[in-house]
Amino acid sequence: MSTTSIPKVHLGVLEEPRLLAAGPDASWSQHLDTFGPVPSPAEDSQIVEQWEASGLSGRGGGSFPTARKIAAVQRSVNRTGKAPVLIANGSEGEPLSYKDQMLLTHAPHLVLDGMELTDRILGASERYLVTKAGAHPRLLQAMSERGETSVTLHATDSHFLAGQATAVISSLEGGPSLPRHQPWHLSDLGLGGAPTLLVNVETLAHLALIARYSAHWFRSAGTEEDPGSRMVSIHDAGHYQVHEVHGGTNLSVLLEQLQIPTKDIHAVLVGGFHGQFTTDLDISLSATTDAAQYPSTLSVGAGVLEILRFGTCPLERASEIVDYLAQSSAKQCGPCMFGLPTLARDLQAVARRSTDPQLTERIERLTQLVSGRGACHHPDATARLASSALHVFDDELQAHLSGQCLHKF
Amino acid sequence: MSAELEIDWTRCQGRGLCIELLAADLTSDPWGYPSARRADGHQSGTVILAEDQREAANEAVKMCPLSALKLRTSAHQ
Ligand SMILES: Cc1cc2nc3c(=O)[nH]c(=O)nc-3n(C[C@H](O)[C@H](O)[C@H](O)COP(=O)(O)O)c2cc1C
Ligand code: SF4
Ligand code: SF4
Repeated sequence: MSTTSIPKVHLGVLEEPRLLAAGPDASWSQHLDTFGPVPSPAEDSQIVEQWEASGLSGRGGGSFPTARKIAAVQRSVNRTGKAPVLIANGSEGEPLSYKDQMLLTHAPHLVLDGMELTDRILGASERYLVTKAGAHPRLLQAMSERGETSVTLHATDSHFLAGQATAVISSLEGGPSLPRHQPWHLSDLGLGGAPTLLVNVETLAHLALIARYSAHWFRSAGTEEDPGSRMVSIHDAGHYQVHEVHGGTNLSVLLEQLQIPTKDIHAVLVGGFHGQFTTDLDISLSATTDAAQYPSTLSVGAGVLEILRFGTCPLERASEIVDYLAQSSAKQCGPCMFGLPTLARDLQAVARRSTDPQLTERIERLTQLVSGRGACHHPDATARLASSALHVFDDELQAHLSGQCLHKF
Repeated sequence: MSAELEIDWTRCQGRGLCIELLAADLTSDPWGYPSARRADGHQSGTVILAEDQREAANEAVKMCPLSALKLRTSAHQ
């Protein structure tokens, strides 16, 4: 693998794949030929240092610094003396996301390496790999190739909320895969009360590479603010593609590279169903969520991009998504159970060009009303998506409110 | 330091007892669930209370029929 540094102007797709470097359906021997074995236990303390220095952030959507999460579990283990639990989250509940499935099919050994290393360093007593049931045959094959017997595969439901951290824990404990009220950290009290490290499968694959090639190598891709690479799932007119891209990549550079002509693009939904719309394509896709500090940056979440071409109504699309999200509510928390369907109905009225003058005000009020009032972030993120649609598509909104449409004739 | 009322939204059924006891900080949303009066009163799952409401909040915690409430004292960042 090359460690030459890359001109960090526009970034885009990785020049050479990292996570998928061993090729399609990589076998154990192809994996070893490409990456070599995981470093020996003698190097564990350096590995932890390299993880820390890499600046890797979680690839499951929340973009939390991974080394800090691992350190929190370590502290909790030292304090309580309880053996920790390791959970690899490959649930991938977002319907537009394919990257975890892709990784588990083509690079399962990198994910298992990441589990092996974090497990070894934390001294975990139990290890779970949580995915949709369809991924299991390939994973069982990979595990038998490498003689891995300590990882338990767990099949999760395939609905939108199933991959949320406390929903995964609940499912592993035999409950429904629905989020729980959990005001404490999983690193303190996770599965069965044990200190728990729950990370996305892509995050684990990056940890496996950083352990081998160093933080410096990891940071030779991406930007200072968003180091390394990430997998993205891109949807365009019913087709999807998955690519490994530089952290902090410019959006229009990426789209041009993929031969999706930006002149045909009206807007992009960045970050999937829990993301935000943008018509400005000259922005960078990053892990950061700090809009004030990085104004021309949008948080890419779990890496889902949906292209909205001219000729389709963006308000209609936004309405469809909010409708899906309202139906996805676990219906456990009042404001989410009642608020999201109301929000979806009002947004649908907007999409259908209702001229009710109170609509936008009502939607704004609803988005404020549901935010921060649930056991999980589902209502907050749904509200954010809805407000982003109204702000970004203000021209369309004004047209709709007067019974017109800018995109259909 | 400030007092925060932690609401377990998976338990709360919006009977409204806490809204009566903490009328200065809470109001009812359109579906009967407790909602902070202050625009910035909600912080992912909790409600920030005025300092002098601590006693009333303790009462609400005890009285909630669904044991959905907890009082937290948190140093703010
Ligand atoms: C509604 C909702 C759905 C989520 N779905 C997933 C998912 O499918 N896969 C995933 O890895 N993380 C998902 N997450 C994020 C997890 O809660 C958790 O933060 C993540 O798995 C941690 O891994 P990371 O630190 O590597 O990102 C979801 C979060 C929310 C609020
Ligand atoms: S906030 Fe909504 S989605 Fe999250 S646990 Fe409560 S009801 Fe379910
Ligand atoms: S008293 Fe309890 S159940 Fe009633 S509204 Fe308040 S929190 Fe909800």
